[in-house]
Amino acid sequence: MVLRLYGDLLSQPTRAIAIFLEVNLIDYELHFLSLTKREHKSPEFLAINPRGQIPALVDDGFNLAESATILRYLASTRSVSDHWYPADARKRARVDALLDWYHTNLRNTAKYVFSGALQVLVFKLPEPTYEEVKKHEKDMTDALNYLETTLLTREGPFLLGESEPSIADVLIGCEVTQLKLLPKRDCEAILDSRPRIRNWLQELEIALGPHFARFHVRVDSTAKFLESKRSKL
Amino acid sequence: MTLKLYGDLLSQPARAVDILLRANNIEYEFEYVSLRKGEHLTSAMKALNPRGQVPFIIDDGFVVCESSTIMRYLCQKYSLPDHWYPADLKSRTGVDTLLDWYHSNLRATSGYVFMKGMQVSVFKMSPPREEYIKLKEDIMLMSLKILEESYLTEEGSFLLGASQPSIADVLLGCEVTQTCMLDEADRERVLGGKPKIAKWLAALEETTAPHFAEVHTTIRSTAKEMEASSK
Ligand SMILES: N[C@@H](CCC(=O)N[C@@H](CS)C(=O)NCC(=O)O)C(=O)O
Ligand SMILES: N[C@@H](CCC(=O)N[C@@H](CS)C(=O)NCC(=O)O)C(=O)O
Repeated sequence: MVLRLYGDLLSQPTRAIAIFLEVNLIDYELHFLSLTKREHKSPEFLAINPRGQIPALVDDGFNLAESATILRYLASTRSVSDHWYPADARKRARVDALLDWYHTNLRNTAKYVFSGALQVLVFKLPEPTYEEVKKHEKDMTDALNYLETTLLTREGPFLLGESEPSIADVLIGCEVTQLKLLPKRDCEAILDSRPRIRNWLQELEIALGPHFARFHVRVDSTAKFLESKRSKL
Repeated sequence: MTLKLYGDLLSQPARAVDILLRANNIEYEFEYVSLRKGEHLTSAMKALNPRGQVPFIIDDGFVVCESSTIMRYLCQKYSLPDHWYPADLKSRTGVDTLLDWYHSNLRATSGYVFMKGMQVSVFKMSPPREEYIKLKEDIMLMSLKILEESYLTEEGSFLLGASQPSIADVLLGCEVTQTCMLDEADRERVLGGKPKIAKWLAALEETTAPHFAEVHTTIRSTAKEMEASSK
């Protein structure tokens, strides 16, 4: 049975997995679940992922959740180039450390973008408090600074100075692109002060081919929609 | 050169790595980095590990941080018994799922216990804000419920019904034991009525004996001191 990916392209980790599948020519079907309609909490989906989160993957009756786990699994079960998730213990540890770092660090970008851009205008939820937004902003800024100064180096275009991307580049890259949903000048200011991140995103777009742009179409259209809403406020 | 583990046994992930090393008789040296004294943030330490966190290891010049990464690396490098990090991809995926889930879920226990049981008494910092405690508390209670009701089953003593522990059991277990720093009433409120978690921790302590208990000596005696001084 063909691989099934459940998700929404406004979800960063869903995009990462879809792009990884496309780039590696792995056959799959995308099952769209709307987060705004809370389809990820339906009984049908909870049977696949009891945690009620996207992305989730079904491989011939085997259910998987957690984006980093899914990426490791795909890189290990499908024939893909070694650079995505190297077999060598030391090289693999470098990728694993990035994936583990991501959760409690760069993933805070999601919380900031959600509270600052999506919560009210897209999800119609109550306004976040000023302190909440500030806290998420600080956590995000710390992570982006670490990405800029330590994880991206002069040696090579990808994370930790590698010459080819790993699954961590795809996952972390798709998190950073969520910044496009912020007011345009805020997003530009964040990237202008971090030239290595800007350059790395361009390299990713080249390495991942048309798929990177294609799977960001929904982010781009949502960004436009948000800009027009904001201009009317 | 001998493998070195840098850590403080008040840190959950440092304990987890230490237990894995001891339970597998891997030769290593423990380099104590006092979190209370802020030794993890000195420039000498940051030169070794720019993350400025513990645990990390140095294996023949190679620095590895992030506890789950360290444990995966040790399993591969020393070809540890398969149950720690199974080669079978479906079983391995189960362990990876737990390790990834941990960060944004059960790890909230750390924040809660720190704010309630350590921030003022052990670290001599100013008291935390109630909203921050509540935020961590909600995620912690939800995660403990998921552990009790989903990840622990009747099938085997360990997570996902396994009959032997994986690295996820050690990491998640060391997070739950941090609750010993809470006062008795709070600990009862958080962990009471969760018999599977209690049984699981006992099984973990028993299969890894005497290492699990030994590595918990520091945190357990710190907890006792705190309790005595509060009376
Ligand atoms: N750690 C998970 C996080 C997944 C996650 O946060 N998914 C979001 C969308 S990006 C979601 O489903 N949120 C709905 C919810 O948590 O109820 C992963 O990496 O896959
Ligand atoms: N994700 C990391 C977390 C490590 C971590 O949070 N370490 C704490 C002690 S438990 C620490 O060093 N905190 C000091 C700091 O962040 O300044 C891991 O699993 O190793």
